[in-house]
Amino acid sequence: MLEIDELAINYDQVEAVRKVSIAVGAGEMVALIGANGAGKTTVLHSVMGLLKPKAGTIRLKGENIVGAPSKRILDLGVALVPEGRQLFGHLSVLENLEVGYARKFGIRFDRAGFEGRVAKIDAYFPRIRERLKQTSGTLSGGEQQMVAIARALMSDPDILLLDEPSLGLSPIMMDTVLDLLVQLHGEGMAILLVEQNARAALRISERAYVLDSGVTTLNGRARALLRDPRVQQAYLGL
Amino acid sequence: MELDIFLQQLLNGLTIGVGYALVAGGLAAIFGIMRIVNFAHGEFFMIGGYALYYAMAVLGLPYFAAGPLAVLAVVAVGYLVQRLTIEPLMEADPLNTLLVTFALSLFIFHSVVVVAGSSGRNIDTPFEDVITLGNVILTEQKLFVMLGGLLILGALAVFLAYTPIGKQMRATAENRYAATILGIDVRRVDRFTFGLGIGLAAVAGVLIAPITPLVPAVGASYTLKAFAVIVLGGMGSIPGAIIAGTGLGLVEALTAGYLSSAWKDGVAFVVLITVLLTRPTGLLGKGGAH
Repeated sequence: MLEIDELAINYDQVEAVRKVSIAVGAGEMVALIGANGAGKTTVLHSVMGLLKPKAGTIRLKGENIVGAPSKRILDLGVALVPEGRQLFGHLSVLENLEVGYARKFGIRFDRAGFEGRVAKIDAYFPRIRERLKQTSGTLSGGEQQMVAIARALMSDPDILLLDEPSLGLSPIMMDTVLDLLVQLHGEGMAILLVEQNARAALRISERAYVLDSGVTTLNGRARALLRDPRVQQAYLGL
Repeated sequence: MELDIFLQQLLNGLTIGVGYALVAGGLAAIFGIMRIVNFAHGEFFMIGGYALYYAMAVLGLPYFAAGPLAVLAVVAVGYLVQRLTIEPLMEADPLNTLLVTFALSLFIFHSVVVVAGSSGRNIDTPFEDVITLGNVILTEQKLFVMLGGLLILGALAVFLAYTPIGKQMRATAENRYAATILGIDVRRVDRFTFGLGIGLAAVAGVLIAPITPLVPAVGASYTLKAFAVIVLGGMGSIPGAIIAGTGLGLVEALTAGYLSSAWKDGVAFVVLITVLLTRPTGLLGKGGAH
């Protein structure tokens, strides 16, 4: 599905990512863990076409997407739930979903297609169903995270990238969000989960990568990494 | 009698205020969505008026044909300007586009002076008659400015609220990054926004030019007013610009009627300062009413 190979990215003169290789298979849930500043968000942004890598390749369903515009990458079936949710806070929940659905620049809106899409994902989001008309900026943090995920799902992706989805949420809300990811994964969605909460991410993922100073240093089965002393010491506080 | 004077000034203020609202609404859209400070904005108002004048005087077109043609011509110029001078600098330091629009304002102003001279032009419209309601006098053109302007502002509000492009514009204004990762083509949103903003200024020019002495310097004065209006309305807020623009027109007209027209700009800026002292983000600015 997604293959990142020997990726290197510079911000001006600073090497943000030096050597990153990550693969996510179809329907697979993969975690990417690492300290602040390790380059996790940079990797996600390069997949979405926001950053031009200095070296390396990013393949999506076999197609090299380095240099492709974000719109093309969405068309190929990738969606990102960004860090901090990044909702359009002055727009209603419904409008946030509409903007996520209608990527084409035009006057016409495929209302039937939109409603069909909403009906498909509706069951995952019982809490936001009654809040469609509400201004999204007035929702609670957990509800906003749900809307951010729902908005990303509007493009009907095959792989969902999530950047710190549990950040700033209460423990209960965090569990709800992680349960939702498990549910989506259970129905065949490939997921690349970037999380500061390494323990939670490793528990629900099949495989994981550890990113340290812009290099993927460790990778393997998530359960094995949970028991790895290097991971325990650096990321699990044991 | 007192009431007549008040009503007269109210109508005068509404006429000029609708013009400010159109010009400032376009400026607010360009600033809010593209983060471009368009110092040349009033110049597009001004060339809208001149395009109308030449379409009528040289091509011999009637007002209703010349008006839309003038607006289209100005939008075409605006589109080229955006593609050639602003779009390549969107990723660069904002100071670049600031300097570019400042240079554009000088370039457009002096080009018009060279071509048309700096003396005033008069435009005759089919609305020369005067309507009298008791002691209140209104020219047909002023009525047309008011109704036409309000209709266009209403259409703009509906467009922004309900169409997919309008929603993409509001989304991009609020969070350009999120719009990009959702696959919105923000470059096309920018092009459209610039064309729309310039178009609103040109519409105002076509409406207002027949009731004001048309000189090249009118552009700079509208730029200044439009900036005051968008600061008053809340930077980048289109509804704020519409409310503040109409309000500024009313304040100016009432000042001119009750004090003296020499005072109208002074009072307008006193209002601006007072609002900013009490609501630093403007009437509908972020952190304010939203």
